[in-house]
Amino acid sequence: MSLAELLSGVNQFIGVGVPMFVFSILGAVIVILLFAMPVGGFATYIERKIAADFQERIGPNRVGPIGLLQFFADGIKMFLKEDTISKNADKFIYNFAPSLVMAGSLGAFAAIPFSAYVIGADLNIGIFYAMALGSFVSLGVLLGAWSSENKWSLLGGMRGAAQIVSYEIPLGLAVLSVITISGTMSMHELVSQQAWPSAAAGQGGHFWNIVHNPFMFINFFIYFIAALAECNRVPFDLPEAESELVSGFNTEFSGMRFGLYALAEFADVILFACIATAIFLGGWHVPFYDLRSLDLGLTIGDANLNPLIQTVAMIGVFLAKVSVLIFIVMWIRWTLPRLRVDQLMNLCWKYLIPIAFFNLIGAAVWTWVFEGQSMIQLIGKVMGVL
Amino acid sequence: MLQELGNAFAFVLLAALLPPIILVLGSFFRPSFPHEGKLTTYECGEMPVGSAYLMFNNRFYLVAIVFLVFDVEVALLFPILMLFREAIEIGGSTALQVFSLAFAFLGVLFVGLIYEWKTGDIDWVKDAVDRKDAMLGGGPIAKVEAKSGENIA
Repeated sequence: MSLAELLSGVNQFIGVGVPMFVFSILGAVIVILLFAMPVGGFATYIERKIAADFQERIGPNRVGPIGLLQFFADGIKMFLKEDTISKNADKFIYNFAPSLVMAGSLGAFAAIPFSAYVIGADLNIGIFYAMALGSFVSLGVLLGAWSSENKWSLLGGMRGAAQIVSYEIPLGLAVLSVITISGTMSMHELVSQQAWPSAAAGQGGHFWNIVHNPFMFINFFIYFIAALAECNRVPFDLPEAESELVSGFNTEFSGMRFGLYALAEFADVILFACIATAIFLGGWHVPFYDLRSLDLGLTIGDANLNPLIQTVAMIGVFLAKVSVLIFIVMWIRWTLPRLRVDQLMNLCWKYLIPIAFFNLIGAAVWTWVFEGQSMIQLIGKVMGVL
Repeated sequence: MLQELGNAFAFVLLAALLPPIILVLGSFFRPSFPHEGKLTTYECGEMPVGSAYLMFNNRFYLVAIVFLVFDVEVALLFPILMLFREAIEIGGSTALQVFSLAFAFLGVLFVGLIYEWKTGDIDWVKDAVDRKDAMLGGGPIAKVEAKSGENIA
């Protein structure tokens, strides 16, 4: 059930037939303005705090308690900055590029299943939609770089396009193997299948895809590395390599325009962490227990509070997994040095793509031989538990 | 499903309209003091030299071409492999058909990848050996130099 459908339940209470598109827009507003953007902004604060910890500094601590409101102050500052457009820039594309980047990174949040009941748009091609919109970002980066007529920008943009485009292939192959073992592209279905195996007929799933079979375990790391490159994160931050290209593709973007690019980039990290959680780490599923059967028996009047409690628990589990992934991304940033361009291309074309090919075949053969059962299910059968 | 597509469209529309909305809103608050020097292209404080549209490495073009082939293939395999589990449940030779269809397709591309690997088209830094061989006609001197130059890449 999508968020819009859930919200349209309000119609029953107020007794007025509000048209459905209002709820569609409301759903988008809730996910983008109340989740993706604040969390993307907050991630900049977390990033600075973690960087400070790794370098034994204090980090931002002036705005609000322990600097918690720093991202808010940064946002206001950038909002009030003068908007400088270089006179050589291609104005139309220059203005259009941030929209493309935002549409790519924030628009794809529609397919993220935060809980069994909360999903922006329950598309039957959810994962395909998220991947397709994800590649808008590379287009936005390239157009923004090209239109600003700056040598640093152009170099960064070309690097960015080549990198994002190359790493899309191992990413696509890793996602393809998930679809091979699951037989569906709907994000909701993909997550539902990853429940803890249950002996009762028609219940339980094959547990998290990452431990479905050995090939999927390797595929998770291929996905993770490729996603790092897709988000231009260290060690793949060649498009903006600040020590060689000033600021890379966004050199000419100042004030709020730069802010939008930075926000879109952090939203991209969160997006890929969300997709990794949903398709590999079981989304809102926890081991040994199915949160869909959580029953605390709380009621208000006639209304049963269980769906609400389940939703809160599921969103909590989902966001906890996402935060762990985001922490690892930031950890890597302060651990590894930047790759050279030729190393970057070698890693993609000579290592990740052949391994991903092999894993795809392996995952398909595993599905065929064991009729779609996972390692956990097979172990359970051998032990006689399932 | 149309409703769900509408929901997804609302997301894309809102995300794409956010930058213009924020920038237009900001134009009521932010200062605007354009100045000749401020509006030049940023080149580390120096006056910009020439146009930025200079020639760049044509490897970028090659990577884009190779990517196109692979990405079309991945996009085509999505629906085929999605049906794989269903095909297994149907039983008989259906699973074999889907499997051979998908992986024959994949196999041809994998052979293509190996070919490009061997010809060096996916090497970012080209081997100095080949170029020297071509220039000097592959004589004995070139062979000796090639050995010492092998690590240039």
